[in-house]
Amino acid sequence: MLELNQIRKSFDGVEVLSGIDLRVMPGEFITILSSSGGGKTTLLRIIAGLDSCDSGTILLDGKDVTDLPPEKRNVNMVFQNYALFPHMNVGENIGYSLKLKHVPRLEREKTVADALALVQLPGYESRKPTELSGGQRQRVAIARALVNKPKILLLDEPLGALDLQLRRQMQIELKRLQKQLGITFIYITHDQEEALNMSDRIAVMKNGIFQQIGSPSEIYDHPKNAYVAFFVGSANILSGTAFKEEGRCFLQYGGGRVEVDPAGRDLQTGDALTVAVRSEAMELLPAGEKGIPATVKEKSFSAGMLRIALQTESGDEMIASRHGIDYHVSPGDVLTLSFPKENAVIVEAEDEKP
Amino acid sequence: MKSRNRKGGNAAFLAPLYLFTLVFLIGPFVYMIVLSFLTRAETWGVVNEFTLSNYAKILKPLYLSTFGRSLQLALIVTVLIALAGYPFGYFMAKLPPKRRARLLMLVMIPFYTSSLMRMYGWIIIFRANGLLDKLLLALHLIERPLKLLYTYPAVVIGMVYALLPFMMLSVYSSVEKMDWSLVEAARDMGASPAKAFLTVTLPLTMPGLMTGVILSFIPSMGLFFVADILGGNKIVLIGNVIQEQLMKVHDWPFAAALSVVLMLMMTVMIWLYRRITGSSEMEGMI
Repeated sequence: MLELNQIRKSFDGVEVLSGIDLRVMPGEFITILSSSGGGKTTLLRIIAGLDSCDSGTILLDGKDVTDLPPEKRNVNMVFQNYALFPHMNVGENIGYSLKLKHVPRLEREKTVADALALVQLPGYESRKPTELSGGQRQRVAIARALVNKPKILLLDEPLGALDLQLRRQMQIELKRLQKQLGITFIYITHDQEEALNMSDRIAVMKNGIFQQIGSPSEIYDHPKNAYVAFFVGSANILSGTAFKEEGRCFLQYGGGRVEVDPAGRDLQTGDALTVAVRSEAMELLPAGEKGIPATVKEKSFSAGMLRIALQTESGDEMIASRHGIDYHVSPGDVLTLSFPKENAVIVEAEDEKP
Repeated sequence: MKSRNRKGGNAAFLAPLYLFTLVFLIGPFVYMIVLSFLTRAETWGVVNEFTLSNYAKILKPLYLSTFGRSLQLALIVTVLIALAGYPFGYFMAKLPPKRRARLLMLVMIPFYTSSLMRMYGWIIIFRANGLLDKLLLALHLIERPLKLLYTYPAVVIGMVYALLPFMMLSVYSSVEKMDWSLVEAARDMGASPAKAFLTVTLPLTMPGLMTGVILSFIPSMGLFFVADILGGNKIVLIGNVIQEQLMKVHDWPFAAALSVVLMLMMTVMIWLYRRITGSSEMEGMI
């Protein structure tokens, strides 16, 4: 229903979007994930019509809307700072678009009341935006954007200003709303947890281009390149060379080798090989076992996970994580790192980390 | 003004401010009110004798109509200033910082010259066969000289010219503080650019516009020298009457009574302003 073809945009000679292609399905919850300042807000503004693109086309339901002003597109946006009109109360804010369409007062009031009930703020019509908490403003902003029955709702890091607990709660609620209304959501965030929790599909963006588009499990389990692997779920990236022996394939890295699954690739001994391994899949074996020698640097505990940082002989830092706080290693211990070959994903080499 | 009470202690620093206000503002003000209830002496000065006759005199048709004429002129001038000043202040605020600073400078430069001098400048422009007439004749826009000097339009133009910067600056400071994402939100909700301006930008910059209105309307009631210089003796405003009563007729109590009434009118206006905008602070009065 939404089709972006080769969208490009530069500001002062710096290209922030370099050829974005995207097909969005009806009723889909798609998240554009990138680090701060990755051009994702610009992309959203171009879809909304608030910015123009230098080249490329935007099709909405097969109709070219590339040159339409924002008011002519059936797309609404939830702004990062909510952008509630301070001179109107909550009811007037939500009813703004209805009033523009000359919806009769009674019908308007009913629609506004319904929208407020939907975001669980019934009876808040006469409050002023300044009297609301951050979470409540957020809900009003969502209600205001939904009341217009847009084909697509654009959300620009809407939970960024909320505290962690509220953010978790709003994630669930946004997902519920989206399911209930069947509206397409295009959601922008730099928070991978939000992306993994809510999305049907995630598009990981870097340097103005999509690195990978896929379902959360595809992105998490089969990252296409080191950037995606590192950015989503912060995997360990091991860049070494391939080593073939008796039809089996190994990664030669940091003074040791671990078997990997070539997954249909034709690897020869000496080829450059990069694999991504999730920290929870990292095995810690006693020194001298087959694998990669490493020294424990530090241990830290957060969110029910023990995080163990190790240094390999090549000087790279690796992270292994374990559930629970009891894991008997201490800084200075020399261990051997390994991983089951089914947990190692071969990715395209990528020097830069996010 | 925000009060900043840092655990007392500042009284010593504030004393000169209070003294200044007392001597130069409250003192003369009280003196003026007292004066307005006293009787005029035969030749010069006043007699300490209470009377209401000064106020009764204002009710004479001659003076009432002067008040009416002054209000009318002030209204016309203010509307023109708002129409010209709002767009100027708006676009100035939307300029890139460097060009904005340059434009602000251009607005301020005339203030380095006395406004009285600048009014005399207008004489050269307005007088019969002056600069304006010559220019318009040369462009074949008119066939006979307009002879604008000493006419009502000349006074209106002079007042607009003198007071326009106040509107520009107060609108500017208000527009500069605008959160433009609100306008984007309005467009996103389906508002055309004009509709978004009327429903979002204008209401949110209303405090600046209203401050500009106050700063234009009130002085335009009292700028007697503009009416004097550009209007000759033909256009008599309340400011001219006060000046005349004070300087020529030497009827100080009557001049004081006229001033008190003028001040009451202005107080009502400011009260209305606060009622409308709901704020006690004026925008851009730094």
